[in-house]
Amino acid sequence: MKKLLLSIFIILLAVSCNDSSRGVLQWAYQFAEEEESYNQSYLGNDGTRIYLERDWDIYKAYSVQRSNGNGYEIRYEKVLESSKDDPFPIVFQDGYLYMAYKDSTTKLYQFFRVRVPESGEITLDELNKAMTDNKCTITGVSDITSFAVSRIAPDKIQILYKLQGENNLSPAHYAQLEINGTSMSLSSQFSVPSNSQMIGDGVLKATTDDPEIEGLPDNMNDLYVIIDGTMSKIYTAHDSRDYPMGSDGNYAALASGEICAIDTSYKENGYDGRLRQSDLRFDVLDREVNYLTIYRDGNSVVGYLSDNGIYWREDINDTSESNNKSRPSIISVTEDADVVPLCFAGKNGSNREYLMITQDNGFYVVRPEASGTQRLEKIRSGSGYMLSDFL
Amino acid sequence: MKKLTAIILLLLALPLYLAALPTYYDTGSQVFTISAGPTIPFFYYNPNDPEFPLTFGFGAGDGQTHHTVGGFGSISYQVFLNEYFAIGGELGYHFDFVRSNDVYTSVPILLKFTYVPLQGDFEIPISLGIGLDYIAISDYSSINLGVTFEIGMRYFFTNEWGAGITAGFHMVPEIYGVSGDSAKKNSLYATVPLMVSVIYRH
Repeated sequence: MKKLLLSIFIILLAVSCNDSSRGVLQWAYQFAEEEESYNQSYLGNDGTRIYLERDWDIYKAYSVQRSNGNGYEIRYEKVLESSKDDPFPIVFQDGYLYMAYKDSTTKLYQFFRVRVPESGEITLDELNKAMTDNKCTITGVSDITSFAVSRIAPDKIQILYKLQGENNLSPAHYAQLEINGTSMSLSSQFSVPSNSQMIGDGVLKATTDDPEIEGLPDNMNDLYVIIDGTMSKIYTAHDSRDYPMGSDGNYAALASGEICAIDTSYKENGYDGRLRQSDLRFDVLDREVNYLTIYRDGNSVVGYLSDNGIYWREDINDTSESNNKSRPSIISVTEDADVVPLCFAGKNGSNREYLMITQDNGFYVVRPEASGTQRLEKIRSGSGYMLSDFL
Repeated sequence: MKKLTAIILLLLALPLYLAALPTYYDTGSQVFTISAGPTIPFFYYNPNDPEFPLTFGFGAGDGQTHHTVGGFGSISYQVFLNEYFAIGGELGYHFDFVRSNDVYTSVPILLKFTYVPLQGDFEIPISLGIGLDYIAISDYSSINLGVTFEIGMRYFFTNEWGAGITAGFHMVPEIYGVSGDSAKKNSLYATVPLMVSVIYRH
């Protein structure tokens, strides 16, 4: 009997020694799914359904009501199974998936679109037919070796590419792919500085010809905008805190945190356009921002996604310095280092709810609080929000 | 009503019948058992989950445990205290998978009591185990109370060697506290192991 009591005592002692920061069983039930890591990018949305590329495959994400009626959860439905060597998606728009591939024979990049069925996956036959029936070719060039795309309007996609044989000092090339109903065409094709990067809608940044400026990350100190089909230099940074970081085509963010308006009507001293101070100029001042993308919801709300947080500001046209709204709310995501802000989709509705899609970590939504600040909530399987609330 | 009365009488008479049967074991008889088989997630209980405090079955959906069907294996050694009751120890290993494909493992080290009311060539052992249960997934682990209940059937082909099947109930309450933030981590996971066994008795 003494041995039995001793055994029970040891058991109770062991139980009381648990000191895990998180319950093992709870972790297994609730959090294991979060460890999944995806290379996930936003392609577009169709009402309440969001189209995503995830590890080459294409999914539509939507919410469904739980069987017990208690809230909603996000479900993923595969639209197209793909791989690295298959056509890759560029954007989803109006029921179509716009894609591109490199023709193995002609070495030319081809663009095409394929209709996404209401349910189920795009079949291989449908994909092959779309690739031949409705394609657009980048003409006059062959053997593109590197390629980047981003959408700048519902019917316009910008492309940055390099050709085989071009070294690091050779020009890159910029073009815009315009979607007009069933046809696609290329416009605004021209050479751009060799190390150009697309940072916004019709906005590029590139290196300067002056190597004397020190401390500029990647030497990206020139800012260019595409005006009327031509590229114009509008700004050159002369200080390590003034190099351009992000833009939405209307505003540009500098490393100092200053957000300037892009004035394309200005023409002087060889600059077709300029940056001018805006009422947003102090929004992200003195913050360690290495990445910044601006998204606007009409003229009322602006969000800045950076690598250390999500910045949120209302009434961007309110120039009153005394107005509290002239300073942004900052929703920090620094506690979760894996967050990579990617997309900001909003509506100017009464609920003021916004959906953000981030790489690796799924969906986030911002919820306003009574104090006037916003709260970031992560959406995962197990929580319940309706996507239609946000779009 | 008559049927119910008959069943109750039968159940009351069963111990008398079993007691009248000849016994095989004596004090000091030994039984060594090796068992293996699948495990089915039975339920997961988290009193602090406002939406799904209690979930059942395998699968990753709502109302399910988020564990898959897994496997369980064990070895046990027991010595009879008298003709019907044996006491001993059991070392087991249980695994299954969660939604992220991480493997969940449980290693029970149990003090095991077994009652064998029907014995001889054909036996019905009923066991209760209590002891430590080490559970782990990914970088997390803890040592907990482990409890099992099993009932089985076994047949001895020779005087010493036999085989059997067992259905069990394996429960791991992970307890961090009775109140406060610690108690928010409390939860409980129960599985049903279905096993085949090889038994040696002496």
